[in-house]
Amino acid sequence: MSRSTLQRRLAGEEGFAMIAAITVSSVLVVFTLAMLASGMHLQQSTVRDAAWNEALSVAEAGVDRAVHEITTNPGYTGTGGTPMAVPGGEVEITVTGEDLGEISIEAVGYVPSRDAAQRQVRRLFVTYGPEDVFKYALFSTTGLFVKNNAVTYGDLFANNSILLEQNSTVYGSVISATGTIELQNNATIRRNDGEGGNAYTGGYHTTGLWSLRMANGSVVEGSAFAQAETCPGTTADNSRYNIQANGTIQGDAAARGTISGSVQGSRTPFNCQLRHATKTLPEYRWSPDLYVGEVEYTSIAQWTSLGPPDTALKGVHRVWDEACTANPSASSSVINMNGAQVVDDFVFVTNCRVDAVNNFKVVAPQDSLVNIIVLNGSTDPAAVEIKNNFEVTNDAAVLLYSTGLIHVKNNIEETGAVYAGAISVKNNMDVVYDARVERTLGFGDIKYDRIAWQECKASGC
Amino acid sequence: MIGVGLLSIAVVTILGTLGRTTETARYSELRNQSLDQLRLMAANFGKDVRQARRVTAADLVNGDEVSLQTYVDGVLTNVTWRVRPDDSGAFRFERVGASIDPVIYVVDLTSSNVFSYFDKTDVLQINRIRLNLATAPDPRHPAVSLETDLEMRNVP
Repeated sequence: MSRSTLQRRLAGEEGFAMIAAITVSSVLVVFTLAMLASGMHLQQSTVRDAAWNEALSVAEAGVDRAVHEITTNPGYTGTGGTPMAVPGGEVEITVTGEDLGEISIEAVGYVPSRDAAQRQVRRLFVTYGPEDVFKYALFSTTGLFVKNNAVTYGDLFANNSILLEQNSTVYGSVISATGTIELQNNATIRRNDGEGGNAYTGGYHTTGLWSLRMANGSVVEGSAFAQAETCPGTTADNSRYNIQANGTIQGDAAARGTISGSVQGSRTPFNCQLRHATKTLPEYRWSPDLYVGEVEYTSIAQWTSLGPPDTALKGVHRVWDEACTANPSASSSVINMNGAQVVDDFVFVTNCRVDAVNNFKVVAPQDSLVNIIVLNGSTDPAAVEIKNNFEVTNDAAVLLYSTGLIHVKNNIEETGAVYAGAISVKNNMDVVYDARVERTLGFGDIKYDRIAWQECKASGC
Repeated sequence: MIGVGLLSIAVVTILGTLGRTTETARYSELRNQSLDQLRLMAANFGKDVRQARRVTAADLVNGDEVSLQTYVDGVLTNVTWRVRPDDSGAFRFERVGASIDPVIYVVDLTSSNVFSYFDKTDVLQINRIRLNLATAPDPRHPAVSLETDLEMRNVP
């Protein structure tokens, strides 16, 4: 090739457009691919997100199905190793029953299916139990007397008036739905774990016209509310529903009537708030289906001869003597439990009075539940008579329930709750509310009420 | 001369298209990233809310903070979710608690008012929470938003 030909070719511009077009096209292709990839990612993540959300619905469907199954078949244990098909996916269910009515359901939801390569998995652990009806440490459908040095951890509720005698202490709130609250010298209502410590009244003293009366040295650590039956009420109400604080209200005070004495927080007289509604005693319904291994006795004599020894009470026992129904207060309508010892989970249901005058002890392990349910309306003598050294040594949860009067006296220590038509407490009774009695088999309208709902890691709880 | 002119117009047009394509691709990527982050935030927040036993504190007016007592690995734990500005003033979504490692989601939210409670005025009454998250990865485009309603399963 001659030198001149080479120079001509080097100076030529033929083919420039082709190179430019190829370059631009290549860049366009790269960007198009990038946008396609981006779109595909968005689509995939949206599908994955939808499947992940659906897996929760599938798992919840499994929980609902388990509750339905166990309602009709108490022996239902779940799907085993074969998942159940539900709309949107599959679910594995495992049901485990615990003592006294609690069940746990573990449900694993798979979308689209357990064996799919691109599956989404979510695992739920839900526990159910009887309806929560026991929320107070002490509950009375009439009045409530707490006397001399008693210490109560938990809230108190009474439909009528409440009297806290000298040096008694409540760690929680105190509610009198329609009556008054009186704190004698050095009686205190304190906060419990930073909550409560309030006093609520719903009535007034017929002659003194006070709703809340506090003697020297008494303290309401929270706030005090003298509430009224109706709002705005009448002109006469301006001089009723009063707070007389000779002790100290450390929080606020609000009253339908007047407020006198020491209030460290705000003071709001002539302020109308509706009082708490009255409450009825939770109703107990016996059914053998509720329990496992229950034993029934048709007379006190049968219980005495065939029941477990008094020093080793455990299991579920029902003593139903028609003579006790016919004459609940009769001297013969009583089961003697003096010196008895509860050594494990124990449910005792009877329509007779229970007399545990001396040294009734609960030595059952800490995780035990003890329900003493006395469906006897006697108030004189008391349906449940407990005196002298009622002890719960290992903090088992004890529910003491009676439709009549529970009379306790002298060195009583209980963890759980006391519910009764009426309660009379004297001398050094300590009650510590234990939330384990909140849901007790046989009480409430709902057999399987949801207690806790948890989502675990997909790999396991 | 005419050929060079036409080619110049074509090149300018193509470069303009390239620019717009680049911008769209970039925005698409940012939008996807933001959406993924919002989904992750909503999923983690949703897990805490669904399991919560109660709301312990909430700013009902500003809607930028809520504290829950909820299950974390099966143990009841106090967890706070909140929106706070970082050093540059950008709103960050945070999960903090006394016994948990703090988590900060690096997404610039358009507003700190992300929680609402279906007109509940008492914290103890709250049983549902609406989470409304939005971020604008590119101010020239509409914000990417995600709204979800969460029911607290352990609150009646």
